[in-house]
Amino acid sequence: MLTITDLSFSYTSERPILEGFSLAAARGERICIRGASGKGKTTLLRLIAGLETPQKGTIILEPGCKTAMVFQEDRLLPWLTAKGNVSLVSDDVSAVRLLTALGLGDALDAKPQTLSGGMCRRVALARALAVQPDLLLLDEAFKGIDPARKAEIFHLLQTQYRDCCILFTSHEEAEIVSFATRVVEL
Amino acid sequence: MAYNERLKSLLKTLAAAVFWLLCWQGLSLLVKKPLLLPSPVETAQRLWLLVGRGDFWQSIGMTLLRVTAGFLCGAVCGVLFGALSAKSKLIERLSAPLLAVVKATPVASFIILALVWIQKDGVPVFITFLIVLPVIWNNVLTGIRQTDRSLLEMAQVFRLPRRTVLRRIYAPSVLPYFTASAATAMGLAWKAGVAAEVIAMSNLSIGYHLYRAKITLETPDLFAWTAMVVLLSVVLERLLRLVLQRGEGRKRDADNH
Repeated sequence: MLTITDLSFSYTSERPILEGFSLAAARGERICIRGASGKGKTTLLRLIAGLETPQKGTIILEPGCKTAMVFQEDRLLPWLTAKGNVSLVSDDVSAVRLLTALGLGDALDAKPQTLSGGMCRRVALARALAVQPDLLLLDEAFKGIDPARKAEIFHLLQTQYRDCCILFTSHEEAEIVSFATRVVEL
Repeated sequence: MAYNERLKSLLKTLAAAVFWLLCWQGLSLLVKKPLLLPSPVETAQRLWLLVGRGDFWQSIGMTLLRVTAGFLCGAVCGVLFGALSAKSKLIERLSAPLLAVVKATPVASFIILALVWIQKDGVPVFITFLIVLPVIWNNVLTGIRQTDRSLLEMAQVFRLPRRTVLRRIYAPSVLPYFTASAATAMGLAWKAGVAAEVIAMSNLSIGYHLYRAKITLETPDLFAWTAMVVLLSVVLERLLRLVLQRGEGRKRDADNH
């Protein structure tokens, strides 16, 4: 699904972020990218998403691979409702189904600025899931979501998105233990 | 806004207008020479007389047509060139000196030049176009540049079609800039358009009547026609804001359903 070989990247020449990083990820894997702040977790996800260009090394995705991402900041369009944001990438029926599955059935017509942080994370997650991704990149995607809801989301991902390869960053040990199939340290 | 608040705001605006009308009336009573400063009452009386004349509405109609035509051409070209400048650094660099010259050159110079180049009836349209163009151009460019980069990155990751990015991300980001600049440009359009009519002495125009008032020393006429220009400019600016804000609201509603 994803093969990263000898990847190097730095924003400035003095301070390299990633050096000679390699990773192979298969369908169905849920890999936690762990590391202290500034170690390049977000940068790695941005590189995989194609938002940055590697200075060295290669990132190869399976042909036709659909990638989706939940950014650290939700990046929802403030002028659209929760449903409108998810419908950007899918049809209305799937948008409503996903938002309802993520416990946002009552907030379909709410604008992001009227939702709590945790609710916005769930809208962003619904948007990412709506594209039926083969590769899902989650950057602190579960931050601000209460434990019970988080468990429901993990269950949803494990049952309905079983074939999807998920790369996620997290600082919470409980999240990593209950969700990750593999941990990669940066 | 609640009905009561709207009423309060309207009353405050009216009170401010009445205050300045009283100041004007007081000043004209002090000056005591209608040739120098006619009172608001004299101006209103003259306006009433003018309204009954056949060429009054024709002149207003023709000026309205010229200013609106110049404004629309300027707005359309401003949006187009603003978008092209945002897309291409080369176009932006090439156009920057041109825009700077257009902005800094006195309107009178352009009017006289335009009189040499084109027929006098077309001069107000051309001048209005020239005044509106850089205002809209600059603001549309700023609006595009200010579009949230993080949302554009999101669109890139989700491979949103170009049309969706334009409609759902760029358009809502640029529209507030466009609305503000269009309202400002409308005011400028009236000033420049009527000035061009005065110098070009365009047939059937408010500018021509202003010119006539000047050479016949009919100051009340000058005030009456000027009051009409102010009224038309304010009404059109409000109308434009209303249309654009309604359009923005409707678009958002449509995007959410």
